[in-house]
Amino acid sequence: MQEPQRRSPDDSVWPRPKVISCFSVHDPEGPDADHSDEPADVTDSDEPSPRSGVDPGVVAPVSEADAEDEVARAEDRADAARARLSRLREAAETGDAADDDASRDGERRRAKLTRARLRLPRRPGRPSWLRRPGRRTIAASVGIVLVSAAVGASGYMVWQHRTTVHKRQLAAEFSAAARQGVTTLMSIDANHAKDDIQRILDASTGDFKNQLSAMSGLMAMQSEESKVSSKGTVEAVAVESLSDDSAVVIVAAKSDVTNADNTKRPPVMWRLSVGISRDSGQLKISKVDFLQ
Amino acid sequence: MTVEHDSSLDGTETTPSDETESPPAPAESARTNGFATIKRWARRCLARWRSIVATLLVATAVGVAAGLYFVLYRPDQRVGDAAAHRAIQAASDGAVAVLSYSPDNLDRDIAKAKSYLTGDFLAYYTKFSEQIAAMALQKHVTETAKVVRAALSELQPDSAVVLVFINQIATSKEKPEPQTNASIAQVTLAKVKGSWLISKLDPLS
Repeated sequence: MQEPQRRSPDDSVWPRPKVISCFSVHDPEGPDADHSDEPADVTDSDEPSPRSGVDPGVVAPVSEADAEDEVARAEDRADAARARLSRLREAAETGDAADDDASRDGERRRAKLTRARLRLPRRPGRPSWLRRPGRRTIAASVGIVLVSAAVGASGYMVWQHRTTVHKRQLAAEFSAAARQGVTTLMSIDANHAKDDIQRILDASTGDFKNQLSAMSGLMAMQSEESKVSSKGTVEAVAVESLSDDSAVVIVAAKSDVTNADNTKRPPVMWRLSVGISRDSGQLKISKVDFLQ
Repeated sequence: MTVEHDSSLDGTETTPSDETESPPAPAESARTNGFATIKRWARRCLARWRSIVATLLVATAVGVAAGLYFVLYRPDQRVGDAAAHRAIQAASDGAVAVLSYSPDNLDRDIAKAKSYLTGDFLAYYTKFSEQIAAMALQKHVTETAKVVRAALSELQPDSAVVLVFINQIATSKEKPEPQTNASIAQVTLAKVKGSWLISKLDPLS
């Protein structure tokens, strides 16, 4: 690039180009900065040597020849430059392409050096928390968010499943208790009424038990005297509401009543709403409503 | 000319220094470079190993959550409280629709009742509704049903059984004063296209 300028003074002075060349060597951003430590320079040595051999003979006599020669030389130089460029490129690709960390380090150091030489003030850096986060940071935070969301969702779903299973178990337990309780409640055999009523008392709890026990003597006497027996059958149960220790169950029950003369009355369907409570570990009837 | 000399000089000045410095440098750096590259490679491998483990962890957590969603959560939702509530509601509304009619707008009542039904029971009701219509028109019978209590007996993902206590109030030309009849219905529901429809209605009596 600087060759034409250098050539204009031609034979006149020696030291000036040298000064220029010195400059060019020192320039840190210029191409010389790179090739100073590369083996690429070796080829430079053999290119000028033939030229210097030819030069003194040809250049002196004719200006035309001089022009031609200049063209040839320019072409030579262009070739050399191209060759060097390709070599540099090759070196950059093969040798140090992999470890860009190192090269980047070198670049940074070089940049710092130039800045120091040019006495440039250090660029005022942004605080670290204001800088845009790196790719690693983003990936890590996305990963953390994903993992915690997944773990939270899994925990919620497992908890939900356990609740559902527990509720279904409770529902089955309470409906079985209601079925058993209502069957017991509606079955009084005249021949052993006392035992049956005692069984009913055992299957109940709370206020309902208190009321029953107050009436139990009378009930037993009545059924023994009338000799009317009843037999209850539960047709369907359904749990209306539910908690760990109590439930409301609706029951469809049929009672078959047998008279003293062994004749049967037509079966009657009953609609019951039964409260079931847990009493010292056992499920017992705490309330009975006949819905009519 | 001088430029040529200069450049050649320049070249000769730089080349010897290069030649003396550069040849031993690669040999030396090759050894140290070897260790450095191994170290660097190991470090990078370690870094990558960590990121691989982290990626696996994320993938596992997300996979487990997705699996739980399909294996546990969705089936649970189908038999959960919301599904139970919807089944009870459908059974109550359907039973009321089937058991309520008035001669004034019979066609509309029957059409409404049919919209709650499916399968065999729909066929049965379609056949039976003609008789009901004829009787209702002839005797001028008005039936009004009301649900007293309703609760779930059984709930599966695609079927449910609901126990419904119903009070039916009937008036006719012969008996103008309303007559209340207590009845119990066991309603079996089937899930059709995401909504509960009555597939069976058993009166218990």
